[in-house]
Amino acid sequence: MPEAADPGGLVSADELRELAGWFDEFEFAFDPLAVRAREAEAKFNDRVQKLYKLRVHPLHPELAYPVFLNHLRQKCRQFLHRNPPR
Amino acid sequence: MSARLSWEEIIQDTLPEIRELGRVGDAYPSADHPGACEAFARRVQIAESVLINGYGWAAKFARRTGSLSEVAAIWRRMSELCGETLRELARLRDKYPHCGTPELYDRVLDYKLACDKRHDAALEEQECLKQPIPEGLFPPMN
Repeated sequence: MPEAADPGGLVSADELRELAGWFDEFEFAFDPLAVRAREAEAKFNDRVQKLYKLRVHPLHPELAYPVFLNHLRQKCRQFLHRNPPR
Repeated sequence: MSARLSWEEIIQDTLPEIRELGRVGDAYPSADHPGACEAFARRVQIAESVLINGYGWAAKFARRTGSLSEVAAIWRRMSELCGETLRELARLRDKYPHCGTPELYDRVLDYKLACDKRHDAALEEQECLKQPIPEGLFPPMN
């Protein structure tokens, strides 16, 4: 997992863009059973768990994982609203 | 008249196709009756296509809305549609065991589970957003 290179947060703008892409591929997949959707969900979950374990939890141990995960899901929705598919 | 379809219009257009599946299934005394399996299998194919299409529309509407309550409502409605289809198929799968019925049942069940998962996740997300998080976790949204 790359270190956060751009300013803005423990989760970088580049990481959020990548996470939002995966989120889009599984949450809004036309075929939820497609391999691509399942792989995107696995990548998303794996990355979020690593971010939480390596960067968030050490600094904010009071923050529960589900709360972090769901705030991140919300950030992904907002990113996708601002960047609709062409 | 607007050319835009609403989610409820799509559901209302899909429901008759699902009910027709039951009507055609009931119209024959058995699957061995001449033409029965062909007619029922045709309705199975149509039901599958409208449900897959409906799911795709649900995903599109869920992506578009900014409200998690609406997201949950969209997936609940799609799950109900899958549930209605499953009830029809459960009622008819013994009568038509070789007309695509078991395969469609399994597929619709998978789709219903996908709808329920997205519905539950939207409600959980809504609850978690009520809890504050430390500043500086995420990049600013420009």
